[in-house]
Amino acid sequence: MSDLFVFIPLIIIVMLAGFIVIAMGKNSIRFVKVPHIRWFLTGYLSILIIVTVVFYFLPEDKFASIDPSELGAREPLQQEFRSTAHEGNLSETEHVYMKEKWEFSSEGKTVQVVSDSEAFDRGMVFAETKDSNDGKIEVIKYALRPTFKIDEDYEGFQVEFVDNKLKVIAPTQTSFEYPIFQNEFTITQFTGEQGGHVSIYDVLEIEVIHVRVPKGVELIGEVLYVND
Amino acid sequence: MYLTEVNTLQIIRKQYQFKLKAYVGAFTSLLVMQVTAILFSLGGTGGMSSSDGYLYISGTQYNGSIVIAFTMLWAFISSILITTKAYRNDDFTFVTNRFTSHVSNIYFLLAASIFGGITAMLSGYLLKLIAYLFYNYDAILVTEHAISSILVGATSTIFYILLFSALGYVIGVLVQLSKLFIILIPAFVIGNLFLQAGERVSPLVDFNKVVHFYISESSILLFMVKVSVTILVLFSLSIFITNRMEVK
Repeated sequence: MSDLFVFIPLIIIVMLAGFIVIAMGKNSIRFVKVPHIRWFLTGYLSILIIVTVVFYFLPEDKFASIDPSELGAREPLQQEFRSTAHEGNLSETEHVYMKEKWEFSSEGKTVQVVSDSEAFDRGMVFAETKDSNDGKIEVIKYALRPTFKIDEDYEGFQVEFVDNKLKVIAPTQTSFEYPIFQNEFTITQFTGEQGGHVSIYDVLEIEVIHVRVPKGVELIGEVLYVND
Repeated sequence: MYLTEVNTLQIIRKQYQFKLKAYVGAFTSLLVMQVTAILFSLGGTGGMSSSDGYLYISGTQYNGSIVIAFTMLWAFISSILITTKAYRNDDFTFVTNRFTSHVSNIYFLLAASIFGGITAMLSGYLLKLIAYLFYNYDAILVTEHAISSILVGATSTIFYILLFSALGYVIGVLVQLSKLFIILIPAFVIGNLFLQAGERVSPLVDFNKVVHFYISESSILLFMVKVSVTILVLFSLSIFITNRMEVK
């Protein structure tokens, strides 16, 4: 529907231009006649019909079906995702899944959380102290499942443990271009299909890192303790 | 009593058949318009981008909306063209009056709109197939393309095109009534747009409301009723206006 609004200024300008040209044309303007135009028209219509049939038989391995009504649904969930992480209940939350898990041995009394990324912020790493000191730091990465995943190779944040420092490594910058095959406004007007604006939250897995440290070990840095 | 009885319906049918052949050039311009629109649409009919700092996504939309818009323009301009004196005079090859001439014109515009509507609607699939085959995309996001939606899309496209045809036709007739309308109509449209853009004076016709009246209708049946009533009014107005004109 919004497509039509985009075209309205252009439509009005061309309509006026066409109107003026014809009206001022002293009645000499006629349709251009091309020999064998009927064959061209028949061929054109035939091609379009064949193309339409072929479209419905295309292999679907490249297609990711989207429901436009679901677009934008993840954006409000990300805040809830972080507050649930703060409460330590992520494992039971809908749309959230455990993406990766690491385990490191720790000997010191403190572990510093550092990152190579400016975008790394408070609210990404949540810490919890275990009931006992087993000398193991457990790191679990949870992700909010996107509306649809467009890049299967996108790993997201990674974690390393070096010199008693827990290092959160930002993913390398990647760009992803995709086409959206949408219906025309003359269809969406009646099907109620939305504009289909895909936001980053629809395709990106929002991640948080849950760190479980042995009793007596303190995490320092940009960390929020669960239920603190 | 005459040797040959003149039947209005027969005259309309003959004129319509004649116009289908004589105005075949209109379909040439339709073909050119649609191919041009398809070429314009190859780069996408819309786009969007978003980023979180690490992942940058950019999407390109593909559909036949631009082709449909171009087809509406074609219908509008072609309708004006067939009201010009050169085309009106063609009708006098037959035993005719203004009414039969108008009705055969309306039939021609209906046939042209049906052809234009179907081809405009299907051209969206051509664009999508080109994007699928020739652009190197790893993944394609697709909204539901039900086969039944082709029927809905083609029907509403035909009605939109007919609406523009009727609008062009009545404007063309007005210009034939008086050349003053060549100035008055653009002045009205442009003046109204300026009034609409400003806030102090309300426009004579709120184009946004007019457009909304049609595009906000979510029921295909009600949309068809709205458009049918409008085109009936516009074509009737055209016939009524020309009744007051001289014969040739």
